[in-house]
Parts: sequence; structure tokens; C-alpha cells
Amino acid sequence: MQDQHTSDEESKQGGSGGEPLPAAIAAALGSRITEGAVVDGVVHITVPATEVIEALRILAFEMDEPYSHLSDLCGVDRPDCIEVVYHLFRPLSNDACVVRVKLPRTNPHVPTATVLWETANWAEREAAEMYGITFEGHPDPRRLLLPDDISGYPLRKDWEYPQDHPYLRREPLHEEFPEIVGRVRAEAAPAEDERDGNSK
Amino acid sequence: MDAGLDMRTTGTKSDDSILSILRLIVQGIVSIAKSHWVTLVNFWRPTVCERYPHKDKSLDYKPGPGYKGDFALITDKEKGRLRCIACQSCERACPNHCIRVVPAGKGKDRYPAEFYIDVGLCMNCEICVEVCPVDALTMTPDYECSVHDPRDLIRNIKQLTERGMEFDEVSRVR
Amino acid sequence: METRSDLRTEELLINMGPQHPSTHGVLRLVLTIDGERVVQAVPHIGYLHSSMEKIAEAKTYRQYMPFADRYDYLNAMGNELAYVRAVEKLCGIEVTPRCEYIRVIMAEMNRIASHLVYFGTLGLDTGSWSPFLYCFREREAIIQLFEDTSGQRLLYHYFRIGGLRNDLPSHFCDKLAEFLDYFPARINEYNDLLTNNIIFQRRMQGIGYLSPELCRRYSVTGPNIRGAGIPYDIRRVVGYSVYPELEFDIPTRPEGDAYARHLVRVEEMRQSVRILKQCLEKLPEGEINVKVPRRLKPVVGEVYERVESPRGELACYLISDGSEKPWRLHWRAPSFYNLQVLPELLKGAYVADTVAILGSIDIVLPDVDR
Ligand code: SF4
Ligand code: SF4
Repeated sequence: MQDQHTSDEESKQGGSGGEPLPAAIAAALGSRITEGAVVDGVVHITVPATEVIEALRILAFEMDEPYSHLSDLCGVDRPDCIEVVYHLFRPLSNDACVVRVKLPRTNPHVPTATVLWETANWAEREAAEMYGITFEGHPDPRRLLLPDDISGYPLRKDWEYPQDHPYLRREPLHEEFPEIVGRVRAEAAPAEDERDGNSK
Repeated sequence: MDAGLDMRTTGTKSDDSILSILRLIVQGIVSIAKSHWVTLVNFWRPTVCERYPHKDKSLDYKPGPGYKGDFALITDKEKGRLRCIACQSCERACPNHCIRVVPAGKGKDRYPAEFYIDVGLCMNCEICVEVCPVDALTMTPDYECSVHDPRDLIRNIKQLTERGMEFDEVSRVR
Repeated sequence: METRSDLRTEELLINMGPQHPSTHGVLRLVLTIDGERVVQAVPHIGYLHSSMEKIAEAKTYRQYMPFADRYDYLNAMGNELAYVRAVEKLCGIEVTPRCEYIRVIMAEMNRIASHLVYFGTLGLDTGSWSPFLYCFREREAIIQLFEDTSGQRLLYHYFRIGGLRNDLPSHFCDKLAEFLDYFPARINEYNDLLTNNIIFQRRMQGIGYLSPELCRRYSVTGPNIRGAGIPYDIRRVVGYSVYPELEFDIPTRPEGDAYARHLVRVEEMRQSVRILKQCLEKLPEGEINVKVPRRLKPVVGEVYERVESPRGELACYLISDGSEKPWRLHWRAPSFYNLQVLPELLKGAYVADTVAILGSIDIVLPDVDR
């Protein structure tokens, strides 16, 4: 199903399916790539979680024209998996390479990219608290943005808004506002019903 | 990295001969004299700040048309009724859910029995004004919304209609 | 009798912030200091976290637009530009040339305004009051123009998907041209006041050294990387919107210290003036809006749209699942990544230089926390 999802997405985005991968990347990464396509000039590759650091290292340091600028790292909640997306760019150019890792929803694990870029430090801490991804070997696996007492992983689609959390509780005024209106509606509604009844 | 550490520990490089120290002193005096000159020049420039609020309200700043301030409902002066047809488009489009419209009447005579806007929740994005099919809602250049009790920030249909009396059309940038 | 070397010294832990006036928002720095030197600095962020990314999943593409203003409030137009470009790319909407030019004018004016705030607050951090007042006076001219155009002074919501809220008001071009005439002379004045002031120079030179290697490891972007000698500017690298048609230089400095970053920003204001002058000359006539369906449903897909914000590389990563609401929106916030390098810059610096170094990397805390 995921395959279908991805190919569907790529075919729509690129118009008529992605072109094959550039030879340099295909040669450098070889069998590490499980899926790959070029869409709108952007190289998209998917690699297994165990191979990702090696793949990133090759892309960033061992190619002739390395993708050494890690622009961004973030998590994405797909319908059937959690993804970690690495946006790599060649320095001083717009050549992009998007590396993805697909992880299971329960207990996702991926090795940390902080060994290659310190950039990944905070980005991974954010992805960890938002998606519950464990980055193995992360030097500082604390929470970054959220308060310590939030349960669950807020950016997952199945997360539920905690109604009783002291910081997230709604202001009484905001509660009252629909109430006032609800009262007015309740008063107004019978009148309308009556009118409905009369007109019929 | 190492070069960086070096720079940090040694600070700016300068030799200690009398001549260079003298030059530094002269440079310092000149640069400080210059900055005083700048402050002196600026002393005579007109100020852009306004004293607010003035005792005389008519002196207060008036934003131009198209300012996203407080709300108003426009009255159709010919027909003598509100333009709003209570279609609730604005209610659905508002990102912050701060509008409530209670419709009344049927078909052509549909009108808003109640119209609430919580200005305290509103973020002045003007989406509600844009979606209105009959241009009945507008934002006005009225920016004075401060009150003592946040409950007073909920505008009702009476206030909105009153403010809308000055407007024949949606307030737009010209 | 004890000699000096026998005296036992202890490292001291101090908290700077979260309510420190020099942190430009709510940032807490835990500094370990040894005498006057910082041994270790640990930033704690998240005090202004506003779930911008979660909010996006509950709003339609149009409804999210005003939220894009709200996290980097000094660069609201630039954020809107990133978001609106991402959505338009996803939907395949082409906007008119006049609209593109007006967007670039707005983004560049906002860049000047943002750098003016930087300039003024850096003056405050290093103990000089007047630049703050003068910079805000000049910023006021820009903000006034924004207010006349978009109806708001800080959070504009001026760009729309496929166009703009309204055309420029009739007096806009004259007012802007007037501003562009006197503004370069004002920059010279500020330089006399602050940049060329010998106390300020001695204070800023040689602190917060950022090497190109450090920039790569921490993905530092914007004026910070240009202050380290690398001409990395998304306007040139990607050449989005009408920037390829405009002439401007990318100022760089090789030194990599706080003063170099300061000089880069000052020079950038001049370059923005240059861009604005060209834009005013080239501004085409015509429509500003193109027809966009009322219910906006992009195809399934994703875009990663980068623009140059005053603080660096700002990117909007937008994934659509074909419905009216984004499946996922992620902001690559420049301040978030630029702040990460701060502990490295503070290592070995004097405590008194902390605020100067922090000021020189120019962060906006809501942009860090999103
Ligand atoms: S301006 Fe925006 S937030 Fe305020 S009521 Fe209208 S749609 Fe809602
Ligand atoms: S103000 Fe306009 S959009 Fe809102 S209910 Fe009335 S007619 Fe509909």
C-alpha cells in the first residue's frame, strides 16, 4: 500500500512518473536504495533505517559533488509509517537530494545523524518528542520544545488534545463564548421550528 | 577552530608602540566626536512619535481606509436593513472560530438574529470579510478596543450595526 | 602561605534568562563560568512554542495564511512569501508579473525593517541607546507603508494564494522612493554612530568566531554564513521569484567574527535599497490576482520551498494528501538552526560578551520555537 501511495504521489507530482536516478548516486549507494526517483529535478531516495547513516555519509562526503548541506531534518506521519526526511543540498546550489527512512509506527528507531552534522541535534530532539522516534546514540536525548508533562506525540495524527492539561486548558472566556451563543441558539431554534410548522 | 580560539584569547591584534596607542586615542576621539555630531543632527529632526492618547480625541492618529480594525455590519440604506443574509460563510471560514451567526427568517428574508464576534480571539486576518458573498461585513479603521473586562470584547449585533452606519461599502485601500 | 596557583577555584553556574532583556524573547541560557570566561553554555528553548505545525493540519490552505506571519514576526512578509510560494507550486498556480514584483518589494522592505531592529537592539545590548531610537524611526516609515497597504503594522496577511490582498495604494511608490532617497544617508549616520565607533569595534571584533567548517556542521545560514566568507544566499542560489532579473551583490566578510556579521547586515540594507529602486523602476502594470478556485485542493505531492529571510534560509516543507488541508507542514526556521551554534561561539568567551554574540547572530525566539 505504501508503494502505491508513493508511486501515486510521484507520478502526480512529476507529471509522468519520475526519471531514473542520476548514475552517480545510483553507483555510490548501490543496493542501499530501496526506492528512488527524480521528481522536478529533486532526487528522492528511500533507504532502510540501518543503512541511513552510511548512505548520508556517502552522499555528504564521498561523492564528487557532495550534498554536504543538511538543510532540514523532520518527521512525517504517513498513513502506515513514520518517516524521517533529510533534506540535503549541494553547497551553493539548488541541487537537492531528499533521503527518507520509513519506520514502523510502534517503537521507531533510527541511528542519529549528529555524527555527521551537529545540525541534526535539535532537529532530532524535536522529531523525537513530536513523533516518538528514538534516535539511537543521540548525545542529548531530552525534550526540546514541549513541557515535560505532555503525554503522547503531538504531531502524530492519532494524538488527542489533552483537555485537562494545565497549560493547554482553554480560557474560561473562550468556553463561555460558545455557551452564550448556544443559549441564544437554543432560544432562537424553537421559534424557527414553529415557523417551520406554520409554513407547512 | 584553533584559529578561532586564538582570536578569542588574544582579542584584536595591536602592537604596543607609543605611536599606535596615540593613533588609537586620536581615532577614538574622532569617532566619538562623530557620533556626538550625529546625535546633535538628529536632535533637530522632527519626531515621528505621537503622544497617545491625546486629551483632545480629534488629534489621535487616524489610520487610512483598509485598516484592519474593529468590525462593522453594513446597513443597506435603501432597504433599511442589514445587508447580511446570515449565510454563515464567515463563521465557517474564520480560522479562530470567533464568529457566531444565528440566522432567522427564510429565503430572501433571511437575516441574522444574533451576530457575535469575539474581538479578543480575532487575529485581524480579514478572511471573514473576503468570503462574504454580499459584502456585508467590514473592518473599520477603529483601533481602540481596550476594555477592562475581556468579556466586553465580544461584539454583538447592536454594536456592529451602530458602527456600520458610517459605511456604505467595505473599507478598502485606495 | 598559599600561592596564587594553590587557590582553588570553582566553576559557577548562572542562569541567563528566560526573562533577560538581551535575549530578544524568552530564551534561557545556562552558563557555566570559570572566572570571567564561559566554559559551557546550554540554551533552553520552547518557552514560546506555539504548535504552528499542528495548527496547519487543522486549517485549510487559505486559513493557515495568517498564521504564517505569526512566528517570525519581524519578517512576516518573508514568511508569507515562503508559504504562498509553496502552496502555489503545489497547486501549479502562476502569478502575474506585477504581483511578483510587489511581493519582492514587500519582502525587501521587510528585510530592511528587520535589519533595523537588529541594528537597534544590538546597540542596546552593547550599551548604546541612540541607534535604537533612530532605527525605529526609520523602521516606522516602512511600517507606515505596510500599514497603508495591508492594514496592519506587524502581522500583515497581505499575500494571498494567487495574488495579493489589494494593489498598492496610490501614494505608495512616491513615498517609497522618498524613503529610498534619504535612507542610504541615514545608514552612514548609523555607521558613524555605532559601526565606526571605536568602543563598539573593540567590543565586537574577535568575539564569536564562526568558521566555515562550523557553518557546515551546524547548517548556519544567512548573514552569519556570509560573515564567515561564504556567499550563500538563497536569492542567488535558487533565484526564486524575480530576483534573477535584479542586480544586487551578496556582501561577504572573511573574518567570521561578530563585527563581520554586523557589517554584512549593514551592507545588506544597502543592497535591499538597490533592489527596491530597481523594482520601482521595473514594476509592471496589470492585474495582481489570478483566478484561484474557491475550494483549493492541490494534487498529492510535496514541495520544499526555500526563500532567503533576513535571518537565513527559510523553507516551507508542505505535504499535501489531496484534501483541503495540508497533511504536514514543516518550517525550516533559520533562527532554530542558527541558535544551535551559540554554545560553540560562547565557549571561552567573556560573560560580558555573551549578549553581544547572541545579538550578532540575530535570532527571533518565536521563530526558534515555532
Ligand atoms: S478577521 Fe479573521 S480571525 Fe477575525 S473574525 Fe475575521 S476571519 Fe476570524
Ligand atoms: S456577514 Fe456575510 S458571510 Fe457572514 S453571515 Fe452575513 S452575509 Fe454571510
